[in-house]
Amino acid sequence: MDDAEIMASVRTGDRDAFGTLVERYQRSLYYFVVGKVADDTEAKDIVQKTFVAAFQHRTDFRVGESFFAWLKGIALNHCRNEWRRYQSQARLAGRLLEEKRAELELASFKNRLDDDDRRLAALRQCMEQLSRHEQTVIEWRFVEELPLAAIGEQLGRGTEAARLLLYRIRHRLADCVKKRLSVEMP
Amino acid sequence: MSADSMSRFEELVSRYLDEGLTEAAAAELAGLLEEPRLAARFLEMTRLNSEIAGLLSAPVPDAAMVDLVRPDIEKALAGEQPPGVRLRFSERIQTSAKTETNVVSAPSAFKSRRKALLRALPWAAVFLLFAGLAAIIILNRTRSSEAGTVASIEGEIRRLGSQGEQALKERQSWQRGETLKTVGAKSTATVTFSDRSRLVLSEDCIVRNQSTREEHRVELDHGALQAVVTKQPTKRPFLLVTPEAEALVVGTALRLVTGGHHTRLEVTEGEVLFRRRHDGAEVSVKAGNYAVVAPNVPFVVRPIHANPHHP
Repeated sequence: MDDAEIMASVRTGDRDAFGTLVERYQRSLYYFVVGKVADDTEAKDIVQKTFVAAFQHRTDFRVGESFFAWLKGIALNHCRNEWRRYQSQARLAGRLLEEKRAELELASFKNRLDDDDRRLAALRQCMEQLSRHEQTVIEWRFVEELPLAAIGEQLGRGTEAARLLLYRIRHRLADCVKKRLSVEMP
Repeated sequence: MSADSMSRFEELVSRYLDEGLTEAAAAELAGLLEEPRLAARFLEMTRLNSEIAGLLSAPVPDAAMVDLVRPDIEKALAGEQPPGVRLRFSERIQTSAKTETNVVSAPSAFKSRRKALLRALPWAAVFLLFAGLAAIIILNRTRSSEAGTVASIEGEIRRLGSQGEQALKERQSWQRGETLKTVGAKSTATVTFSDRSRLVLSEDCIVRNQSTREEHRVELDHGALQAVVTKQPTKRPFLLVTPEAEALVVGTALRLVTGGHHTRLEVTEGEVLFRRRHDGAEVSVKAGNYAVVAPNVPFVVRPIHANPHHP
């Protein structure tokens, strides 16, 4: 069944049919949301919230519209709300830098739609090009969330050396993503 | 902007991303962000950081997301109904019991001893029959409570047991002593138990069922799993064990990841007792928190959002 047929059943309150759409789009939606909020746990929460909101507002879905595009619109609103919440919490806690970051994120939201899909694909390719050693360091930092001191120890060097290595890897990744996007752009 | 100022800016951003900044350094960086070019660079690097973390994190398996979304939808739907319409099951039982109370007639008080004995015999036979059936049911339940059932599969799942290694299909069982492997990057499986506890195995996961009558025991050798564990009897705990750590679960939802000499536990509901195996140190991890067992990493509980990018 295509999305429109499933949504026709969902509009009558068929929850099982909606489960099919959740299974069909939750991963794509996760990768759409990643990078639009501060961390991956928040991204997963937003995916969940988006589907619940989509079901609650199922009668707003117009036949002929792309279901995934409609879903992305809902997710984007949730991301925006998340940054507003982040900003107000940072303001209350007097965390100037976090507040500034939220302000910058919110100001850039108008331009954040399909461009991010290409950006994420480019980043994935750039990460695959890293050396095995660099990939291991990235895993220590992002998957195992080891602090810099522990990474330094694993490397047989100090904390500062670990920070500089991570800085260089990020710098290379940022340059690589830019290059890939500029090549793709006409 | 001079090369020195630019270098200082990059250093501050790098420290912000990896170790956090002192108040003075944060104020210094916030001041530099008034420059639009630097603000754009800051945004680029913080975003890149979130994207790397997102790409490296295992997405929630499809079936697990459906399970997460469904209760919220049910709640939303319950909210849509006018209150007072539904009668709770326990209330229905009480209502029917009240109507039946007076139907049973009282036995006669004047029966001879022999007659009473004869009357008791069929009841005794019925009692023995029921006791036998109950014993069979209890024995079966004990055995089935040790086994899991593979409720759903994506990709390829293999089972290693006394009959060797074989590909597994949905609704097949996972007995004590058997190992399950999710093969490849796109394979996931959901396993359910008779008490309705559920494990969702991520890709490249190796997990062994070592449950006994005394305890549910699942050993995760490699990979990640998400668990939704129903409330367990205190005499029969649910244990999730990795090479480095043990998580004693009473009734909760969690995510456990292991590999490369580390284990990470994230608790999303309830509370889990997390034990480091090599020295027996324990921490209690409540909902919204995580802890890591790894060499040279402090064994402490941290909020899931406790990173430099989240207030």
